[in-house]
Amino acid sequence: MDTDKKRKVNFQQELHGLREAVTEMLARFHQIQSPIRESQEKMPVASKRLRKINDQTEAAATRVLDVAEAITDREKSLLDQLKMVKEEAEKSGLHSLAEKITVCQDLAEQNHDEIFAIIEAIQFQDITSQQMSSTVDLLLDIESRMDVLLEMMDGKKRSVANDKQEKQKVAYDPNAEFSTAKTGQEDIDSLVDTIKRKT
Amino acid sequence: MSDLKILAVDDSPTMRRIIINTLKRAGYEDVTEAADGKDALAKMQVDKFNFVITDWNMPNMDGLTFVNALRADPQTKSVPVLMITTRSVKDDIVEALKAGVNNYIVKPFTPDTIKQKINEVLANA
Repeated sequence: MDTDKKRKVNFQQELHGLREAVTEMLARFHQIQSPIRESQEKMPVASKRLRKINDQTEAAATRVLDVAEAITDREKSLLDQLKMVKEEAEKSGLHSLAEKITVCQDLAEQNHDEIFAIIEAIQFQDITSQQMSSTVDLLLDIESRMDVLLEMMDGKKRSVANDKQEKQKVAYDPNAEFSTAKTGQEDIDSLVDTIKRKT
Repeated sequence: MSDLKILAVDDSPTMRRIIINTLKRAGYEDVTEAADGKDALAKMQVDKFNFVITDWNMPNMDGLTFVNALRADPQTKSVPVLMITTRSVKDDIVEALKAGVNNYIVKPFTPDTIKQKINEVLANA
């Protein structure tokens, strides 16, 4: 009898302990739901901000290109005019003047070269755009996984956001990097030569 | 002045402008743009281009699919192709050369590089 009673008491104690553990587990479960939900809600905001940065850097790069192209066109016209003026000066025997015009031509050529250096440098925009698109896709992935987790927790089905469908529209290289043009290309040339020799 | 008629393919409008400016500086004036492989194939049906410069990562049709399509068409299979891309790993380069790309430039590039590569491709064509 005593043994049965003892067994019953132990069993009740175990059940009680189990119930407490489950209650605590549920409480903690509800506790983590809230931060997950908050993080999940912040994801679209983060993606939107990155896209905005992308759009704005593209707009800035376009503006720089507009100005750079206008300057290069003007410099080209200036060089053409200087060439004509120099020819006139030399024809007229004004050699001292012709020398000064040569100095102006050199300066204009330098300007022309440096404007092109600016145009080349704008390539950063394409590379950073790819890096940001890669990050946005990563955020969209995390958001989707959080949707699944929250659905499992609260049973509420989450609709697919438009942002997630846009994932397919942007192509990018997730490993895009802005390295110095010369070093990167030398390595590539070496690889291409090696591959071509093997085939 | 070069007699090359070039098709420049890149999904980034900024990049297309840079390529066109760089080609003009290198002496190539006749350049047409396309925004992706699909757009490029459509333009190649309408006009005769004797040189193609293409990016790799593009929506609708990427550069590799585009090059494969060029090589599969008897009308365009011999058109020289230069790929300009951020992809720089060996496997990518192997894949591009296998698809029929004649040479490869990694971004960022300089006018000297583009001119040198165009000359190399034409010399070997």
